[in-house]
Amino acid sequence: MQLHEYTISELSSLISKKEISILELTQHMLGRIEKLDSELGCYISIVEDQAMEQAAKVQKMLDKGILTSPLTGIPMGIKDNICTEGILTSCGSKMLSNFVPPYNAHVVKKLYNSGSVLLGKLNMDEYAMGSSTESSYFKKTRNPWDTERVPGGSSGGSAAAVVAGEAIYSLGSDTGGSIRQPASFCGCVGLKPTYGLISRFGLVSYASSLDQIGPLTKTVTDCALVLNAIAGHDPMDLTSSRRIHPDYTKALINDVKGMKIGLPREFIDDSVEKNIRDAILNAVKVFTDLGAECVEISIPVMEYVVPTYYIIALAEASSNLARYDGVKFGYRASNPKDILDFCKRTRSEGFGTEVKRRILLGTYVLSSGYYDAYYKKALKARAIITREFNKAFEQCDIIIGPVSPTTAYKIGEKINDPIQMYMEDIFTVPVNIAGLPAMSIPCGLDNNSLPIGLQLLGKRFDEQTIIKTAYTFEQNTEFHNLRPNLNV
Amino acid sequence: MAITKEIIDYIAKLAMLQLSNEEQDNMVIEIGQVISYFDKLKELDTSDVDAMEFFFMDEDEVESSLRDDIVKESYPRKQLLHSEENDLEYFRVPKVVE
Repeated sequence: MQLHEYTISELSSLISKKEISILELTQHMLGRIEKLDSELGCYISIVEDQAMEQAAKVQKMLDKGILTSPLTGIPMGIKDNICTEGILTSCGSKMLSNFVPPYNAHVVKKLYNSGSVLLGKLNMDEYAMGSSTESSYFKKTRNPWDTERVPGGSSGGSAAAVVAGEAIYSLGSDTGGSIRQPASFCGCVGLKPTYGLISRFGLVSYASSLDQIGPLTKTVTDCALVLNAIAGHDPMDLTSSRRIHPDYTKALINDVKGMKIGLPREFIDDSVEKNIRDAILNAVKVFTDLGAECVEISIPVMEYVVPTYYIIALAEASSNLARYDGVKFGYRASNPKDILDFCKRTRSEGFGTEVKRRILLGTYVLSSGYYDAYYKKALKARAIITREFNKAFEQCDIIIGPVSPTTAYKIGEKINDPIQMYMEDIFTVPVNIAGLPAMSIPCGLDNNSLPIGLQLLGKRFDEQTIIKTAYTFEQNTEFHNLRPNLNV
Repeated sequence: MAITKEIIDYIAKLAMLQLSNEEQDNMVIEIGQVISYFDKLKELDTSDVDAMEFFFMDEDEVESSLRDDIVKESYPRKQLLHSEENDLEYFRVPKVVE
């Protein structure tokens, strides 16, 4: 087995026993990126020199006994919308193609403090607006299982890098499924934590009431380790919760006996590909064979979740993206006639088509005369959706279902059909609407040998039940060990 | 209501975007399609709901989130003015006064 194939927990033990050095591991990972990334396109920036310097520094601190976190020396990649001091943070956009932040995001600071080594910044849909990573200004990321296909998105680089062994773990962000859907398309573990569990300070805002940062890892154990490192209160984010978070590794228990697992009938209807439905029903059988009880539930409001989500997300986006005027940072239009021309041309030249489309839609639903009909209506729908999920959780401990109605599709196949693409977010957006946590874990392969993801939805701040259920699934199946054949 | 070229013009102006003719034609169609998809939400009965009912944080959490205004050192000026068009002293914009 080569170093990039190991999990965080395995590498951490090798590092602490001094069987491998952090420099050796970092060097190996950089070599792996060098070999693969020209084809896969996971990274926007690779910070080779900084990584080697950081590895040397962390090794010294480990030798002196100053650093003892399970993440010490573990090489990571970070989505390019999470600020890294002194390192380009482009958000996949021409608008920020020269933006080097003067500060680190809260999560980046925490991971540096735990001794994790940054390899580089990962590709994404422009401003996280997309579900295929095709709208990045820089490059397309390819799915490691089939390079003709998309890795999902918007955290496509984050998922592909973990699966291809170009990072041991990564961070992504999830506004409507942007961690879970690429994790499902690429076959890794992706967690969207409860809104408020992770500080958003230093995350480039898309839709502030929906955005949340989370880990992408090979296993559920690794997910718990990263979550432990990044969770917790931050005074710089008003919405960051003050609850003391538990040690999530304590939830790594192989037991679902007596647990009630909810399966909404709307989650396995005909809109879902048959291979995926079969894989979900197989997962249900795994749980019931282990002594869990499957409860059939219904969430009638599901048909309204996509319009509700897009109205709220795009309204917030149009407001958040108003800051890009070319004055203080980012792209600037050249030879402007006057200040208005400067601002308009900066925005028109700096944003790509999908971002402009979303800004216009968001502006429309907030504009005078339409505000009540769309935005206010969507806020009310949000309350109803949240109520229905809370009610569903009175009948069960956890809800399961698919992540996406399809597996990874061909590059270029859907990019010109925005509505089709939006509609495929149906199973991921309710989680963001209601502020819930949810995880995607591998649960099978379809007829084209492409990964299928199982989604586990929990109550607010109940990441533990998700981790316990996912861990049990992992311990009793082999799906998490499936890897693409990359011929290297 | 159908999305017309005039509506696209108007919201583009509000959003400070300048669209090419081709972009404008595409947006009339695409935004029209998405908005009519959004119209599905009109079927949902929301008469018993307050738009602000939904809020993630408990009230006491919001209260305790307010902190004192503490003076801290700001970011280094040089780092903030790193763009080559800003001359290390000011943010530069086109002339705004006659």
